[in-house]
Amino acid sequence: MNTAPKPVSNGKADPMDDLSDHSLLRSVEVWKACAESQQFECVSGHYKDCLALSESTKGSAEEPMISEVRTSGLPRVFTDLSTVTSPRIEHAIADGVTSALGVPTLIGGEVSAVTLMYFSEAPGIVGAIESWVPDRRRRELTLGAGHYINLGLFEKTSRCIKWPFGAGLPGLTWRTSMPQLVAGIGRSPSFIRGSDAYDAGLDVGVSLPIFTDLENVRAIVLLLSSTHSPLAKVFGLWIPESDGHNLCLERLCVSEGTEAHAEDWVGKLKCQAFEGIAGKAWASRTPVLEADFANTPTPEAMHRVCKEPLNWALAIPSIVGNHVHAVCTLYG
Amino acid sequence: MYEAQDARFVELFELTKAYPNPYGDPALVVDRFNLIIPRGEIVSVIGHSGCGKSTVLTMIAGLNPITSGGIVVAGKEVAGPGPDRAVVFQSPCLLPWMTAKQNVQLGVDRVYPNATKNERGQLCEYYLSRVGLADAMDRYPRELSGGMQQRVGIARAMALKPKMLLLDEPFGRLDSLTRMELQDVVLDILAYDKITTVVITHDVDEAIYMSDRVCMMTNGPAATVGQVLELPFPRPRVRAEVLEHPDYYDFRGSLISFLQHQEFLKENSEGVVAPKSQPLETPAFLMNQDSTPTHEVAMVGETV
Repeated sequence: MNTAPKPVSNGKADPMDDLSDHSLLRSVEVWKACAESQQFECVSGHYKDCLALSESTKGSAEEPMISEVRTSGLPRVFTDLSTVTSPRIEHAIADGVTSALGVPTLIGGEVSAVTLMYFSEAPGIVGAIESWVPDRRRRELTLGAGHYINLGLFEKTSRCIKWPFGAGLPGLTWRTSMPQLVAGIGRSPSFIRGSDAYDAGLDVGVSLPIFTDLENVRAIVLLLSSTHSPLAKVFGLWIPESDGHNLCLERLCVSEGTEAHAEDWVGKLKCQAFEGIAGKAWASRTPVLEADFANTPTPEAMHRVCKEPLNWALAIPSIVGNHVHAVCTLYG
Repeated sequence: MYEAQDARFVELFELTKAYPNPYGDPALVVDRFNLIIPRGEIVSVIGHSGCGKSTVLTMIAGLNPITSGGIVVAGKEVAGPGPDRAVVFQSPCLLPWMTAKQNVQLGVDRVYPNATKNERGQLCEYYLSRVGLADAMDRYPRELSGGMQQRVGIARAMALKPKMLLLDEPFGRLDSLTRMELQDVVLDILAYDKITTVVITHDVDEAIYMSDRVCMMTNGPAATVGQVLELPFPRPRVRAEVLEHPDYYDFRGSLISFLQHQEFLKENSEGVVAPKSQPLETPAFLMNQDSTPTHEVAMVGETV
């Protein structure tokens, strides 16, 4: 593992080197349906330094952004939070949050939970949030919504790109109905826009499929982040074993600069239902957010995988129909 | 029903081509290629030499058996060659003992046996005129320049009134001026006849100018669709307007970036340290940028 800071592609010094915290992802919340009110409520949140947003969450009613995701059943990219009317969003904006993404979790085609991610756009932060939706006539994915943070050509051309079934990372996610993780997207054969991504400084790609059932994809969410403004430190993909007793760590992707012995754990690390955040997401079929991951009562194996402290963790189940096909985990 | 068929006029579904070898390990050339083309659309296919572009085209033409998957043109599965799909190759291969008109009429006589001789003759003359050979119909191939011979090849294909036109690097052997002239000739005819067209080309400018969409193929073996670029330029195309479009160089840059990425992957897979280098036709705005990915990122378990 090379932990030395790398120059960006044009060979110039990176403007973010002197910044201590420049994560693309500022906060995450998981919202689930409340049995009594039929509204969604925030069941867990990781806020890092977004203190105003954190305070305003307590006892808050259903967020307009959540309602939009819940009613549409589609991922929603909120590129300009100033257009969203909500007292909480005013707090989020005060914390420096500029955009958000709502990802629904569907069970049997119904939205059971929403994962809400907040992003910031400080200079030097690079990232892309894309929602690719199917064009059924052409059997391809087209950009439903995209938010590009400090990306030039990559943004322009991405808006005109289509992915036929099986093509590129979105098409592959559609074909396999599984989340995909790609590190080093500038050199990966599965990331077709690699050259533009490399020039833009993008490094890690995560794709999350949203399926109603096996025949019907609703959207593919793509999150692209850079080395210097990572979405998370470590990404994991967990797949249920054929006998259905365990989840097995199928892939592990580590952001550049994070020390981890990934190769020692892939295919070997397993968990049972309700064991760890991956096991909880698998068994409950809902996203699980551990805001204080460093102090969980039962130590997670991921702390042994990554040498650096992991403070929060998010597990998003990938459900097709009623079955969990995989669990995607993010650790930061 | 008709509208639905128009939307999926040509459908390539999981199209795969593998050649058997004596070791029982078939060489996979094209792997699960998916593409749907509506009626009247022009699609260019670009990719590095040897990636399998022409293999896809010859499978659509019915000249090359499909290993698995399928091709449907106008609601009918392709099972072999037919006059509903006309092909123009890089070399027109005219019969030297026949005049330009006789070369065109050869196919017309077969496809329209019930038309009168006069009608068939008129059809040939019409298309030869459309390609600018009204005064050279009775010349033999040896009396025609390379560009003129290719015009005969185009007229020969168009005169069959195909449902689909397949162009395999049709202008690859022509000089720049003739190439541009013939691009306009073809676009002019296609605009009138609304023929669904696939163009195989190495020329990114040609792909952008002629097509509604550009399908980019990944490297072989096991080549497939990498991505599809949709071009917003209106039709009929006016070269000056396309070149002056504010997004023209972005699209061009995107296509070249794709080819560069594929080149990098090819070099990397062959164990060559990725030198980024003399990019093909690099536009000015991409100059002085070393886009060779060299950074280290851990990825374990990636199988794709």
